[in-house]
Amino acid sequence: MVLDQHNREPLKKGNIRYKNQVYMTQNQGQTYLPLICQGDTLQISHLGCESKTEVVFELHDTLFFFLEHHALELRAAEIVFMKRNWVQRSEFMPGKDPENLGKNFAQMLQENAGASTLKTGANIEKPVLLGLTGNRVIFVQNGIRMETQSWGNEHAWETDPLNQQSMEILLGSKALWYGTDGVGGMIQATVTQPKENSKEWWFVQGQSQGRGGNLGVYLPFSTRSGQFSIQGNFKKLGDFSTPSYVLRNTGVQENGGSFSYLKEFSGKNSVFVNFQIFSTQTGILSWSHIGNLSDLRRMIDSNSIPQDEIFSYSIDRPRQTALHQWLFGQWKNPRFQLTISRQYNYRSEYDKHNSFGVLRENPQNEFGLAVNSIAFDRLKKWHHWTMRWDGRNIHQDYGGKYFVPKYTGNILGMSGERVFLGTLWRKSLVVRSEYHDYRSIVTNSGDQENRQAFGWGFGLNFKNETWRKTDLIVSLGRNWRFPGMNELFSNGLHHGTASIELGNVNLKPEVAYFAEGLLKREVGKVSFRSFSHVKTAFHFINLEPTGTYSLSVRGAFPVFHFNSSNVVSWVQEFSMLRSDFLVSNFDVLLKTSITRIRKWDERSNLFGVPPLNVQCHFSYQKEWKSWKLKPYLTTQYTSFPFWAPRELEIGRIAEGYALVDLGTTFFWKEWSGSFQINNALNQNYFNYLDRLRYFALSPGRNFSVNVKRTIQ
Amino acid sequence: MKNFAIINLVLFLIVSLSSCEKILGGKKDEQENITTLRFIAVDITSGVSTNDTFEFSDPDGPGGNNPTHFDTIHLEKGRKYVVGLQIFDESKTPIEDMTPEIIEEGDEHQFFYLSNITGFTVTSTDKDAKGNPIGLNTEWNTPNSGINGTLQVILKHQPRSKTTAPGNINAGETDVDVTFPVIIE
Repeated sequence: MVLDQHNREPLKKGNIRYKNQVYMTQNQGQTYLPLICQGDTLQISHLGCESKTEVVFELHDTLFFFLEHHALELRAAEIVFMKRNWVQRSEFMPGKDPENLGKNFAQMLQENAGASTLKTGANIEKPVLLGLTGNRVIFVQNGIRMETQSWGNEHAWETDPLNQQSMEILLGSKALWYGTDGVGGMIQATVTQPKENSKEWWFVQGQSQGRGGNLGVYLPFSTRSGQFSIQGNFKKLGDFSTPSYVLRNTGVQENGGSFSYLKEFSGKNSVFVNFQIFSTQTGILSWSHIGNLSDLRRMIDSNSIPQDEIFSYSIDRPRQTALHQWLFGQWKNPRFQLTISRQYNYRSEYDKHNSFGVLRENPQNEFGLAVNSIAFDRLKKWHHWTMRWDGRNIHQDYGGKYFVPKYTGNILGMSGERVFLGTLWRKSLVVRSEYHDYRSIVTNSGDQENRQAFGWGFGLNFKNETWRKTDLIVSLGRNWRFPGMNELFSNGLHHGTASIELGNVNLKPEVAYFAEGLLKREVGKVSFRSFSHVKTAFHFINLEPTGTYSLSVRGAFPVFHFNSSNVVSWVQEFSMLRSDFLVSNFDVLLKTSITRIRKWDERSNLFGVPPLNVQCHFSYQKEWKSWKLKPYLTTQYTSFPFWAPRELEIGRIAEGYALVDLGTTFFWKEWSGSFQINNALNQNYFNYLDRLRYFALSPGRNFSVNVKRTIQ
Repeated sequence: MKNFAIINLVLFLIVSLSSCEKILGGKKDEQENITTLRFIAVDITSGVSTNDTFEFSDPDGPGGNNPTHFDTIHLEKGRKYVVGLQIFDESKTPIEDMTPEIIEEGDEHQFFYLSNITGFTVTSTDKDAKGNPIGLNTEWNTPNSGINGTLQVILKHQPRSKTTAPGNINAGETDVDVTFPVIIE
């Protein structure tokens, strides 16, 4: 059997060379070799994997070989699949997938996993899972919750993808292990650990959008004291462009670096230490800081996009800067795992103009967030239960307006999982409880108040793999989410949206009940997958217009407030993969997803839910001498948001559009890379989830090329 | 096992000690924000100097509490007023007069006055270093009959786009946009 080293998934079409004969693995990664003897040498290879030579030391009926898979196939892989007992959408390796080098998290998620993204800037994107985003999608790095999602939609994620060995999107009950509030799901990132066989690599990436790119390097060292690694990344992009005009001041600059140390001791004990630093400076489209509502309306109504803007690398006001630091230590052995970490996050916002004189260079808003975390995972089962205890100590500070108040918080959580084996159904139960204690919350009036709450969630999974070529997972569960501090206390002007956001101190914790099912069936060379998710949420918190205006010295601004209502959501995804279509190694993947979230009290639909999406992906694999190539072509149709409440839209009305992407990935000896063209037809389009850019189109065609060299 | 204990103790100390550091860099609140407009109008028609003051004040800026002062401008018909405008930041203690800052950056700023009252005119009488109007000092002429309406006061920041008189109201960013009710009787 040939399996993926990371997720133990079978690798089909792998080659095992034995005595000048090549044997190809089948769908389950299996193949049959003639009589082999102890000491024989086998060469195992797979497209997208590093080849391996294995000597047979012991003879068994079945031999297992693990290859480090480069996830070349994952782009064309399933929209959803199963891992253990969970519904998992996708897994990929940011530092290894040739098509992912140089992209941010949300871009990778969107292109690889079928997730949508909420875009608040050319380089500020957030993933949308099950139609939900923000702090309803938990981001976990090495078992530790990352916290900056509480800073709202204008904040991108706080880690460099190149630090990650793998990323997974997990839905439903798996997210409960780390928090009861993963109503939309979770994204689990695993930091790259230096190993004895780790290899040095560097890469360079360039793209036409922004006329810039990335440089990255990874240097592992192996010493008697343990394994070390240093990683660095630099990214610089200038202004993006639509097919018709330059989006002035949409450049970005990122600097990232990390240091890792791994020491393995006897008895499978290990200590892993990781330090990451990641800083970004992001330009915000110059027309979006437009002062007040009158300016916004004037810009929208005049339909006068400045067509004469000139490309520039400079990042002027308005802009935002962010700095993220992360220190992490983990002691692991077969019985338990102890993890401690500290996150420090800082963000500053610079309006186009506000102060005068020497103070004009100071930021208009500042956020500071420090989080100390500790987690203890009991890996050895206790009365059939695997357990986890964790705690987070949060310090939030602000300067400027009250988007997120100053406060101190302590969150304690306990999780447990039990697996019930059965002949027909494999069942598992995950339960989690949390205690939230927020103190010294500085309210708008300057008073201080405290908030405490206790919540719980559970997930019950049923998995059946006994039917012939048909797998089924059914999950039921409950989520609980304490309102974010911005949802409770926010009271300030968002310049980008030209609106006032008001918190609501009367909000209650959200409680959601969900049921989801995944059915997978293979018929010959065709595999089908269907994923359904239904959820009903009580006290669901949503930012809605009040219909009133707030008077200020800068004019009158529309007021939005956080309101709660009861909603029901429904997600349906379907994919069909046809292998070896017409010719060998030519695959066709068709996938579609649709989401609807409806307030059942008010009989109206929710704003900002992704519209219907249909994708068709064609790929072909070819090996020639030392070359491995996989050209692809993707067509994607996104409908107009037919369920969206159109009365809430201001500015440009989103229409349906079709995009074409094409490219190829390649492997040649120690080299790998990709060439891609996104929006190949240079289509004018406006993505419904592109917020804040009410009057600007989405970026046009982008040529991207990257080359990576792994040094043996 | 001793090694594990030492490593974890070191990490724990790093985490504990680092939690004592300042979260923000100390630049917060080091801002100057326009919160208050104060007009001082002098009736020069009769030759008798009578001062009237009209004010808009929102000390905590956009959002938060409602404005603490929002006066209606009362004027007499058929009169000529010389009007001075003062700008303050009342979020500071003591209150900061920002009028000199506007004058200093006069070549990047211009006040625009828009009214829906027929016959009511506002004319800038001050100039920046390039001879273009700023609009802090103005002359107001009221119509000969009583009428009610509004006066919209807009301050534009136009670092590269300020033009010669009468200026371009569509260029630049808005620093001030207040519409006063006006009663002329």
